[in-house]
Amino acid sequence: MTIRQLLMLPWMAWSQRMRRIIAWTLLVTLCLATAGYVLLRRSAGTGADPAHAMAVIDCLFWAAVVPRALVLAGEARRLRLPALERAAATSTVLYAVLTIALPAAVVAMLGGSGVVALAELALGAGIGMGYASLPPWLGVWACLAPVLDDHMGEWLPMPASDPVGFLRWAAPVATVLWIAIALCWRRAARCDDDTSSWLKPLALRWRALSAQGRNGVKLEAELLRRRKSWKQPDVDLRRTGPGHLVRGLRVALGGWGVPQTATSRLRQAGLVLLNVLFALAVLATLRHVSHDQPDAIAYTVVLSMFISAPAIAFALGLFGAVLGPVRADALRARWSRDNAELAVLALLPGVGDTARAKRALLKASLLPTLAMQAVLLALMLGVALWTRLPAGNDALLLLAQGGGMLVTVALSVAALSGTAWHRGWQSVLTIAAIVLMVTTTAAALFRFDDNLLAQRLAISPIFFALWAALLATLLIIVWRGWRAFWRQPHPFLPHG
Amino acid sequence: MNAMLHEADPVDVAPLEARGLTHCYEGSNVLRGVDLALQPGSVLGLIGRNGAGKSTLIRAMLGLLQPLSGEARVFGEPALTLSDHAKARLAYVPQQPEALAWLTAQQMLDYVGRFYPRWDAAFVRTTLERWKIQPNKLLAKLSPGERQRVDLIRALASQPELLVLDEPAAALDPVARRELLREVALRAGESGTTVLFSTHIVSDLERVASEIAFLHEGRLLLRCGVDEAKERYARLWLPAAASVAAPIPSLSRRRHDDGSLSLVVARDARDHWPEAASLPGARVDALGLEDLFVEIAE
Repeated sequence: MTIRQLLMLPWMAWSQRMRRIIAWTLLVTLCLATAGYVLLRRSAGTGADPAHAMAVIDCLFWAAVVPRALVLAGEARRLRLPALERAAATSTVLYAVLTIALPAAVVAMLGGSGVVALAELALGAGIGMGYASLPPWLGVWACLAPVLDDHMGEWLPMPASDPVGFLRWAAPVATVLWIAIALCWRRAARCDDDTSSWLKPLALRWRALSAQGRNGVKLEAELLRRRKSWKQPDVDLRRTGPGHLVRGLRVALGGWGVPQTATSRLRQAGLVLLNVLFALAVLATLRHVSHDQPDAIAYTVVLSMFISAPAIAFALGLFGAVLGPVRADALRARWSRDNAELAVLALLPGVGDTARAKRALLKASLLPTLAMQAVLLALMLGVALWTRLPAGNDALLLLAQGGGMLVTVALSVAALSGTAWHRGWQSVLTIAAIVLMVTTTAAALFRFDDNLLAQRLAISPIFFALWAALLATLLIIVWRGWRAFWRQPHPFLPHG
Repeated sequence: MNAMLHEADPVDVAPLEARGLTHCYEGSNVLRGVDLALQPGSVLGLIGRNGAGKSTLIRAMLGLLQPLSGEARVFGEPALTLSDHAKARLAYVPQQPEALAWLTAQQMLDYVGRFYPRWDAAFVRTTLERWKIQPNKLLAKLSPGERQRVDLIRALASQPELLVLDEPAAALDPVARRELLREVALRAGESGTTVLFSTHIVSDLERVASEIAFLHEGRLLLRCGVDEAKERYARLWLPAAASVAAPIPSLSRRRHDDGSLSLVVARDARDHWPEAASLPGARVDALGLEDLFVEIAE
């Protein structure tokens, strides 16, 4: 293999389109990260340290791109292509030379300490690589690297202040980290395709999921297949059948709208709660780490946003905003398959005439989402009352969540009716709607410089124009979808 | 009243019928005016190459897709607006069943069974045991073969009068395939169930089908009894010198490098081969179903 082919190897594990997206995202992120880093160091009066900046870039690069070689190595092994497996390892070594050894050599040539730079770069790249290729419960701690990077100077010698002291701890840590990565690489490349393994690195987990492509239903089936039994929701089949058609159809539509037993609901809620508690624990750790630091005020602001009542209401609003598009996307995926639920539903007796089936389907697909959004709205209004928000702000919350409910209806009816519109435009509309809803909710809840931004937003003609345009577009979609839905001979025809 | 009307359904109404069905995907024609009707109690094997349009034809006949033109009827009702009564009398198993993956096998069968008036729960229980399928295993976690068997149980437990199977044996091992075919033959023989099944495994056809229909590039090329197909069609080989006298109507025509010609020909109304068969050097070879299929499809 030529050097160019070796360099391209990790990128080849993506499709051409994905490659372009990742490359641009990485380039923009790297530019922003580098610029931000240099500005921060200048404003802190410490001056820019090129090796440190490169270590940050290495961290991002090794987290995002190089682990793809691991994916390739695993697949090459399964396909009995030893040359490709060797090439994947060679490619990683080549990238190590280019992003760790070469910059360190350049630093040495420019009169800096090459060994210190080498340790710094190896640590940066190792943290990035560790994030994707160590077991997830270890790799996830790499996310704390930026915080540690800012505050480690308080406890440990750093290159700028004490290069020899830095080498004393960084060199063994980097060595151990890379040995661990090498061992995990070896194990992961040789293990079978069992993603449920708690040792399976994130890079391989993502690969297993992204292999399912853009088809949401395939991804759902894959997730169902891989999920542990105790994590599966227990479907409650009581009161389903021809006499309880709406509830029966909810079973057939799947997703979170499926009727579940009380125990299953509790278990699912417990899992969500555990995740929230974990996030709070990480935040508490951050607070502890940043305690008494000169820039602790920034963390305090962030933390107060996470644990205050308006922040909780904002989280509820955010959840409500994405709920509709997610549910509609699931319906669209369901209605694009012709050998699954639609075939069963179309030929299921006891559903009644076409009009009854259509009414029941609309209720089964819309009501669970709308009910959830209504509950979220009620909770948000409760918080608004408790925090004594002005009536105008309550109206903004209503507007945002009401808009979210209209998005649910519009996208769901479009999915059920197969109303043809370009997928790209649909994505643009969905993103625009979510951004507008989230901005409105934030403006209604948060204060900036002791003033509610809402007062300023509410009188802004651009704000009103955006909302008017969104609502008008959604109403047109509902109208078109509604007409097409009722024109169909029966509601279970796939739309490709 | 509805029930009384249904009871008065004429006995000779075709359980499944298609007239002039046309359909296309992304500009290419998949069905080109297909006419097909099943007689009550018949077992029709629909055969054709991959992409010949078998699944599309079946789906259009059952009202699972809206054809561009033509009409499909199930028990005399328009396929796109079937009544509950007609739906209760038919069962369909798609090629790769993927429905309701979030339910266990038992849950799915319980759920579906609630909608069918003649659901045979005992059959479900015994067949799950006999086919060694874990009832509490999530459908998503079953192998394709197990999944297909669960769907076959779903179809058979509803005790249908019309059973439509789209490549039912595709994911089954030979033992399971034999069992399925035996079950189909039993249903057809004892209960008079009408069966339509698509396949490209010719031996399956010979085992259970009473009739075959050959679909090629969206057109129905032939439709006849299985035994009749073996007797009625043959390969006519003509040497190069006699190839100009080749009969015009033939199911396939292939010229060899030496100029000789192979054709698949049919006996005429008087049970005679075409006149060219009596030319000097001409040869008529009997064809088995598989050879016939290959000759036409190539």
